[in-house]
Amino acid sequence: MMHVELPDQNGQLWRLADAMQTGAVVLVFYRGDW
Amino acid sequence: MPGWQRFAENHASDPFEVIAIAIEHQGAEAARPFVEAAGVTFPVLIDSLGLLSTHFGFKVVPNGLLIDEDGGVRYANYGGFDVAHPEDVALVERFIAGGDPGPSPEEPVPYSLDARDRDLVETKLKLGRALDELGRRDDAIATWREALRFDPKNFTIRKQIWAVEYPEMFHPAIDWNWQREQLRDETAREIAQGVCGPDGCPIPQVAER
Repeated sequence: MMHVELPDQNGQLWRLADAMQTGAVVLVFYRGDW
Repeated sequence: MPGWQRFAENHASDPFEVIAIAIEHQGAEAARPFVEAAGVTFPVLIDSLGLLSTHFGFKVVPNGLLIDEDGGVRYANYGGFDVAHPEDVALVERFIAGGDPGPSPEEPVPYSLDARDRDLVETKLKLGRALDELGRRDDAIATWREALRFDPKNFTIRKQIWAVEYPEMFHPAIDWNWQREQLRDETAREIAQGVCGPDGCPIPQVAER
């Protein structure tokens, strides 16, 4: 998984790889409001 | 989003996590009201530069990736993955129960950007966002359109531009007929400018939620 930091809606930075270390992940993509 | 929140709540005892990625070129500020309205408790990360779009190569949303505990992509659906689809929910339930989600749909990839063009697109998106934050909306839109010239079939960029230019076509309801007409008009211009191919840039339609 690519190493990238992204902010959440409150500006807190998340390392995507770290966020995905809890086990199986359902990663869903959408555009801001729809 | 509310649908995925309900799904997560209904499967709270299962060993998995939902992570949502919002492709929102206007950044977290623009996404926050919708995240808060949905009341989600799982992480929602904001990809304002389309980094994951270029990494995975998708050009439309909504998408779904099922990733196992070893980081392997077990299933990918680009452009039609929706919690409102019973078949999508069923394959996710199989996956989080330890089963096989099944084959991923075949996705025609119209083209792949090389590293230089990916950098150019990201740079244009970043500059557009900076201009938008300065209140220079017209300059931001023009810059996002420059990004689109490098990636003309990327509907996450095109629809972002539309949503900023024509918010009334997205709220309170998405006007799909308007999108088709807008795409037809833009495509005609882009063909004249040599941006899109002779077959144009077909619009992908996804279910309304």
